[in-house]
Amino acid sequence: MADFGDSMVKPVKHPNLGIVFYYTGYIVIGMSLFMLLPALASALFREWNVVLGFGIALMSSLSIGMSMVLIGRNTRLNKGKLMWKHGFVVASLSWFILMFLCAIPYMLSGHMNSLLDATFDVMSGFTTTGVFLLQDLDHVSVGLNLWRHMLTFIGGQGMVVLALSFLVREMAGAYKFYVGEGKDVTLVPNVRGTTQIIWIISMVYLTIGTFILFINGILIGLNPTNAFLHGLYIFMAGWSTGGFAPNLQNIMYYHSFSYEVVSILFFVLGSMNFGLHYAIIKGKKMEFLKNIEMQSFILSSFVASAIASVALAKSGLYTDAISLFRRVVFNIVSANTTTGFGSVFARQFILEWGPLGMMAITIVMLIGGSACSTAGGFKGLRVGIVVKGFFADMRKLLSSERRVKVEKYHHIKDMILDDAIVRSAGTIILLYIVLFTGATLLGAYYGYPVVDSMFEAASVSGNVGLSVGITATTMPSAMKVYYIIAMYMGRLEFLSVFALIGVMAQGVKSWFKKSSV
Amino acid sequence: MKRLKLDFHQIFKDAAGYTAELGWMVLYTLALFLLTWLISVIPW
Repeated sequence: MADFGDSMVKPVKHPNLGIVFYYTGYIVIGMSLFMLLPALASALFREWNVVLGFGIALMSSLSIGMSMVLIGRNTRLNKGKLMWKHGFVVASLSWFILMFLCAIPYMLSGHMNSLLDATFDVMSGFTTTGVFLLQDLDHVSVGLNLWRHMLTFIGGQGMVVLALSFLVREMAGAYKFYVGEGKDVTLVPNVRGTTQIIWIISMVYLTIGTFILFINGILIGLNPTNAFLHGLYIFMAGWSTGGFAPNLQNIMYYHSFSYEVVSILFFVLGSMNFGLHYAIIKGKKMEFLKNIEMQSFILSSFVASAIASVALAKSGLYTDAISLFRRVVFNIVSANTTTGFGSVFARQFILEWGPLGMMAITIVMLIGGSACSTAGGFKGLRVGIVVKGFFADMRKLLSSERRVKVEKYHHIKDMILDDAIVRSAGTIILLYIVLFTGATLLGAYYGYPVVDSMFEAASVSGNVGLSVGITATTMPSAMKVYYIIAMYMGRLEFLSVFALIGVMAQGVKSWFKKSSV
Repeated sequence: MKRLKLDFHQIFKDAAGYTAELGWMVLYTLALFLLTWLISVIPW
C-alpha cells in the first residue's frame, strides 16, 4: 500500500464517507499516474505545451487523490468495514470525480469550447461511447490523442479495480468494487487474479492488433510513425468498443478495405465477454457457438445486416457486395458491438439509409454487445435470457401442469434459468429503455426530428458513438448534460449511480434533520 | 529473489487459444461477407 505517513488528519465523523474517500482517493491517484504516459509521448514529439498541461493535471489530481486518502485513512483503518453500498458508491463517485480531473488536459489543449464539452468527451471515453465535442480533431497533439484513446481503453477494462489492485495491498471485499463497475464474471476465485487475466488478454491483443494495423498502415502508405500511432489508436478504440479515431473522417480516413476488415475482427473480439475469451483461450473452442451471448449477437448482427443491406441494395445506392459490406455491414456490426466506428458520414444515415436501415441500426445499438466486456447496450446475455424466459413460459403454459421442467441456458457452463434471473435481466432492459426514451424526448423537445433523435439516443444510452450529427458543440447544454448522464448510467448499469444518489439523498436528509432539531 | 520460469507448454496452449479465437472472428467476418454477397446478387 502506498504510505502517506502517519496521518494527523482526524477520522471523519461519518464512517461511510471515510471509507468511500479512502478508496476513491486511491482510484484518483491511479488514474492520475496514467497521465505520465501521454506526457512522455508529448515530450518525445516535443509538444512542450501539452507536457505542461499534463503536468498541471497530474499535480492537481494527485493532490486531490492524496487528500481523499488522508481524510479517509483513519476511518478505514480503525473501524470501517467495506459493504456492498461502498463498492457501488466508490465506483460511481470515482468516475464522476475523474470526469473533471481527466478533462484538465482537454481544457488546457485549447480544443474545447467549454468545461461541459471537455467533461462530455471524458465521459464518452470512460464509457467507451465515442461521441465527441472536441474541435479541430485533425490537428490534435499526439499526447492528447493518446490520452483520449487511453481513457477509452482503460475505461473499457475497468479502471476502479485496476487502480485498487496496484495501489491497495489489502483487497478483501474487492468483488464489491468489481460489480460496482458493471462487471460480474470471476475468471479465478479472487478479483485481483481476474483483473490480471483481463489485462493480460487485453495486452496480448493490444500487441497483436497494433502490429497488424501497423503493417496494414505501412501498406496503405502511412509513414512508420503514423502507421504505429494510428494502429495503436484504432486498436485501443476498437478493442474497447469506444470508436474514437485520430481523424474526423473516422475509419474512412484510411480508404482501405483491409483496415476496415482488421478493425472488425478486433472490435467484435472486444465486445465479447471476458469469461468467453478465457474459456476459448483455455481450450473450450466450441464455447463460441454454444454461448447464449454469442448466439444472440450472431443472430442480431446477421439479421440487422441482412435487413439494412436489402434496404440499401433495393434503393440502388450500394449494388455490389464490397460496397454493401464496407458501407452497410461494417456500420451495423460496429453499432451492434457498440463500437461506433463509422464508414459513412453522419448525414448519410439520414439522407441515404431510409427508415428501415435507420431502425435496423438503432435496434442493434440498443441490444449491444456482451456482458462483462467493454461493450454497452442491453447486452446479448440479457436479451438471450429474456427471450429464453419467454419461450420457457410459453412451454410451461402449453404443457401439462404436473410436468416440472428445469430450464437452462449456456453461458460458459449450463445455468438454471430461474425467474429471478429473467426478472433482473428484464429490469435492466427496461431501465435502458427509459433512459433511451428520455433522450429521444429531450431531442424531440429541442426540435430534432424524432428518428434522428432516436438514433442519437440509442447511441449514447447504448455507449455506441455513431452520430447523425446531433452531438455537436452547438447542441443545447441540457442535452449535453443528459447525454453525459445517459452514458454514465448506461455504462455502470444503473445500480452504482442509484447507490450514489441514494447515499447523497440520505446525507441531505440527515443534515436537514440535524439542522431542524 | 524469485526466478522467472517460463512455462512454454502453457504459452503454446494459450497461443493456440488466441489463434482459435482469431479464427472464429475470421469465420464470422467471412460468413457476413457471404451474406452480403448473396444479397448483392439477388435482383431486388
